[in-house]
Amino acid sequence: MKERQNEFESVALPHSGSLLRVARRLTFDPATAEDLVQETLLRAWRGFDQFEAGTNARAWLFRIMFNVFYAQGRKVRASPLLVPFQAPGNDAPPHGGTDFSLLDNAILSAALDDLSEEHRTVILLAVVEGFTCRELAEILSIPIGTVMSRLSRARRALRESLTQTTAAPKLYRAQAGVK
Amino acid sequence: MMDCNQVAELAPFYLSGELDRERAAAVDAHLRSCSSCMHELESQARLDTRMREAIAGEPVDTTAVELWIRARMATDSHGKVTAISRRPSRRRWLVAAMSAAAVLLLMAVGYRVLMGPHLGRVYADAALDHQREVVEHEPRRWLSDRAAISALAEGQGISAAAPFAISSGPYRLERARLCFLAGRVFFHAVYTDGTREFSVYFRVRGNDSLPGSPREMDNGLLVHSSIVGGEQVASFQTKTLTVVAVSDRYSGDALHAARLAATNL
Repeated sequence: MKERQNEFESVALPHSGSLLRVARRLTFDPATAEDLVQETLLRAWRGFDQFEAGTNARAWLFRIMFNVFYAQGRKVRASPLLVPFQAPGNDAPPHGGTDFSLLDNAILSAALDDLSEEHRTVILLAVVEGFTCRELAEILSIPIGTVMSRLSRARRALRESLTQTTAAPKLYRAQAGVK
Repeated sequence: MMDCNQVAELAPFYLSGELDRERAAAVDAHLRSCSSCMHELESQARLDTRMREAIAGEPVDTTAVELWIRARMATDSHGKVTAISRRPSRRRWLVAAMSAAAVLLLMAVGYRVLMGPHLGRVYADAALDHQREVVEHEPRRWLSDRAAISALAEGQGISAAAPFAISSGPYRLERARLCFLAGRVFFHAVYTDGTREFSVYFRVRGNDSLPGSPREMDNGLLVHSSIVGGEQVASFQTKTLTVVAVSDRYSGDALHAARLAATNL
């Protein structure tokens, strides 16, 4: 049994950081994120016999996590507590050729959080975690064509958000008790 | 024929090598004639990289999670609790890697200022790309399937045999992807002997000639070479290809790689 445990640890635990990083941006609450990852790892452990050694462990784990996440519904799915507030009169038209490489991490992070859960999910998985469209289709249980169009829309939404950010700084207001 | 809107949708998948051959060829054809779409693609690629750095670079502490699952696994098996060991933090590695990348970025920027526009940037970009993607193993989408690599090369107008021709002696082609150097798409192949790695970047030759000091002639091909940051960069051009080799050592691996490429292409 110990050997099986060691095997599972070497297969699954290297991905716990990635899982937690994505979980944090799905639940927006560190404790809930940890619960989600723990539940994911537990289910993976229990289903470890079905896992074929040498296959894509990371995609397998993420698929489990999203199954858990979607199953838990409104309990864990949340919005960020801070909501961007557009100051009046800042309707500067976005200029072409924005140099996104100069944006600081906080702005990028906020822009990502601003996205809808659907868009945020595909950006996290494809851009941040580096999954292919095929892997995304497997993880989210959606057709690959849907993955691609969702990703295109998400990228567009992200760029619009960032282009407006660089044109006019956003103010934030706290939104109490939003779940 | 694709229009700019279609290309804008498909371009990121083109870059990651995920488009089928027909669509990849169509996107490629459009990009070669539409500089504004090329700039958009490059801007998108840069945004992707920045997003990845910003988010994947955030420190994350998995200690509690790992302790929890270890404890559950132990009790889940036979009801006996086994010893729990603490895993070393990966944060230190991340910080070190990021500062090294930052230094290299500054050097690359400085190099660009010296070398001027266009292909002058290609060595700085190649050195930085190799440092981040190969040496530091940042998460990237690599193709390691031989057929996929051949298809990717051919999609760029590079004969599929070319990248494999360099696999010789202990070094073999392990993975490949597309990337941007100096505002142009290059085919990036990584070769390894199991412990050491070097990168070779291929591109169908245009009218540009490469900067740098000519070092030697191999098979009548001129080899330029330079040291950029902590990387050695060596390059040459055949009638049809521009080739840039990068290794992260001063032992002359890049020159050796370029020589290998020159004799085999």
